[in-house]
Amino acid sequence: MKNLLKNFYLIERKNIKFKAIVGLLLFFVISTFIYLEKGEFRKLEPIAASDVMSINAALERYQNVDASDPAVATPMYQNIVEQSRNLTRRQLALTIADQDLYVDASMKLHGLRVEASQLEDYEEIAAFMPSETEMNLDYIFIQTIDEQDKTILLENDNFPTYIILLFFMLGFGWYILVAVFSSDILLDEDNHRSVVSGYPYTEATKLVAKTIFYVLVVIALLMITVTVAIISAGSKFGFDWTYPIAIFNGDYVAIPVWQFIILSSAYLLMLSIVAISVSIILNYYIRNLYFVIFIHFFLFFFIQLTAEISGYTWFLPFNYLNYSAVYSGRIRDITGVSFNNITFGFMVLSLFTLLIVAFIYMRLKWNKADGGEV
Amino acid sequence: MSYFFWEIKVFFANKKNLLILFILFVTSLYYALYVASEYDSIEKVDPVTIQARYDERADFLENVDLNDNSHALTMFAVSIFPEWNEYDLARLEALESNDLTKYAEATANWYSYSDRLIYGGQSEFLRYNRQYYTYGNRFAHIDGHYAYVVNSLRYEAYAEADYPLTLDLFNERTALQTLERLMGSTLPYILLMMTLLLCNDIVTRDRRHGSIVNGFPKTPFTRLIVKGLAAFCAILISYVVFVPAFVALGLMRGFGSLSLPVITYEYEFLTLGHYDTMTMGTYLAQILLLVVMWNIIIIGLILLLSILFKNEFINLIIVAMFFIEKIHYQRGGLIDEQLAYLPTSYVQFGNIITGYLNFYIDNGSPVYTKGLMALGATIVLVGLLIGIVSRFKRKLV
Repeated sequence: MKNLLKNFYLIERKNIKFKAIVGLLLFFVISTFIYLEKGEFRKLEPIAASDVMSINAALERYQNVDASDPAVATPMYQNIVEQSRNLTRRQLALTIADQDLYVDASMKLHGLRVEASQLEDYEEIAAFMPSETEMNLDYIFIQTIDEQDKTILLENDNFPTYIILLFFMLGFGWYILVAVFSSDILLDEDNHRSVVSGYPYTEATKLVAKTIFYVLVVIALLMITVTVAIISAGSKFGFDWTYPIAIFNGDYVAIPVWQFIILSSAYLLMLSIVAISVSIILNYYIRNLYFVIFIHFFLFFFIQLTAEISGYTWFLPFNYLNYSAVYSGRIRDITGVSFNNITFGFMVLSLFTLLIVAFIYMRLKWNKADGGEV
Repeated sequence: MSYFFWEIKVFFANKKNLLILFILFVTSLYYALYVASEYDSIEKVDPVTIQARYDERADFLENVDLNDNSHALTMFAVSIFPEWNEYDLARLEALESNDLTKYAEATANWYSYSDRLIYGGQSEFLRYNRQYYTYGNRFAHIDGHYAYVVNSLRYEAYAEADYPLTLDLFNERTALQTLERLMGSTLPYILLMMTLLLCNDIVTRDRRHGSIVNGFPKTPFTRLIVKGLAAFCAILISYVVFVPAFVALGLMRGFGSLSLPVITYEYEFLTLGHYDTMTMGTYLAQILLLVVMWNIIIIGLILLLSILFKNEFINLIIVAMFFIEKIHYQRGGLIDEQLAYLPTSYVQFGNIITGYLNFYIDNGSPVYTKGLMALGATIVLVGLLIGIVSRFKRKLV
């Protein structure tokens, strides 16, 4: 086995595919820095400004009356006026950099938003307010900041924001990247068949060695990418390991940056293994590279394509392939089932991988019994 | 010549290509029948809303009692509502008598008057159509301004139109208008990806049956050039898969006319910019030029990369080119003017030509003519590189 792995290494280190993917990942890391610098990703001031604009538009739907008089003002109207007041306070807090005021206004705002979402005519103004998931994530973040006496970061040129951006992008693209990368995992033997069939090993050993080789390579790629990104971000912005990041995991929680990095890396590793096992099983039956890639894409966008029946298909592993949609609660928003979270995703994905491994194992056994070839 | 036709035959016999074309055919047809034909424009013709607005304002004007103590806003309302209502009434009457030219005229006036009041005047208290103010859109107000100016110019053109007017035309549901709208959103990416995926293996597939290919009495370099040409023609032929969707939509909602107006925006520093009208024919011709140039670039790059690396995977990296522009052209960000010299900045075909990209990023640097130069220079560069590389590589295929 060890010899075989070494052999694969000797063959594949010349393979341009492996060099290209390293180049692509480096390009990705550079572009995340440019993206952060050029845009307004998670800058607080523009967010506060857009909130004010939306709530003013919502206010316009109501006749302008005295909000303190319950006889003429509906509860929703009173609520929106209060929200608008607190949004202005929040904007003021940003201008004069007063954190206590910011926290206080945000807390009150959350209370009002929750209250509004329980009123009858919420549907009419829902478009002008954040979704339930968004506002809960926002709330838990502010609460944790307040509890731990942290300073809120107003701009986006800092370590925690970069980490959020990095894993947001990686979480979206990682499955697809590994899937495309591994989509010819068994096919490329066709290119040098004489070499491959010359190995004095069984089909099973070769397959296992190949899988281990790919998994090792992908793990190495992930580690390199994350490490390079973190080190360059740290040297640019300075390290900050304890700033809270709000995620959805069955419940809304805020975890420190270092936990977020570990959790995300672990999830991405899981995704790599899933992608490679799916590639293997597809390669068994379909000897066309592009068909395999298309099926991967289909699986990745499965949740979007079946959004209407997702209430019944929420347990399928394909719902968990997009990490950034899982941890931000977007999958939960589509399916409406709060099992669509990271922890459950881990379980479903590992079960799915085990099933695939068991299936391949059975196939190999049958093949051996038939004396056939993989 | 026979090699050329053989290449095209192989192109369309390729299982992968057939699958891609089939997927495109089905999805485009589905889109045309179920999505585009029910397109719900924010600025659609909606007599109910107009009537409600008209009644409310007419009611106010009837009952208002102005005196010295009246609020300034009441006075403001009394001064602007009569003219506004005049246009709304004209719109309603035109719709009732089914006189669409008159409707277009009144609507053009309505939009320009509304925009003058909402953007220029006491904008604190007036707002554009509510649907622009969705949660999180900080630019809603200026978005509304853009839409109102575009619509006022659009209806101005309809009022002087020599083609038959329909409600579907006003609601932007005709086939040509759908094409225009898609060119400003996702269609460019679909076309680029389509070219890349269809042509990805034009060179590398020959390695599998080298003996057949080597039978043609041509040098490898000529073969490469013919291959590129054949791929280019095959791509143009492949666009036929979208025709059924176009025809289906045209039969349902009308095709539109080549003299339909397309509104362009020209960035001017420190002003609101300059708006102009071009015809749909000119617009489509300009789009076609961009599509052709991009196809040449993609096929050229595929040839180049295939000679250099002889691996299909490497060609897929070209995808990254399509999204480079997304990194640096973000709304509200600082725009570096030099980036307009990159060919990758000209991916959003429709938005380049209408100038919506300039409006979106609030910068005047990426414009059509500059794009043609950048893309042309890239074509020359890729061509030169192919020439140089093929001279030094021993084995081309």
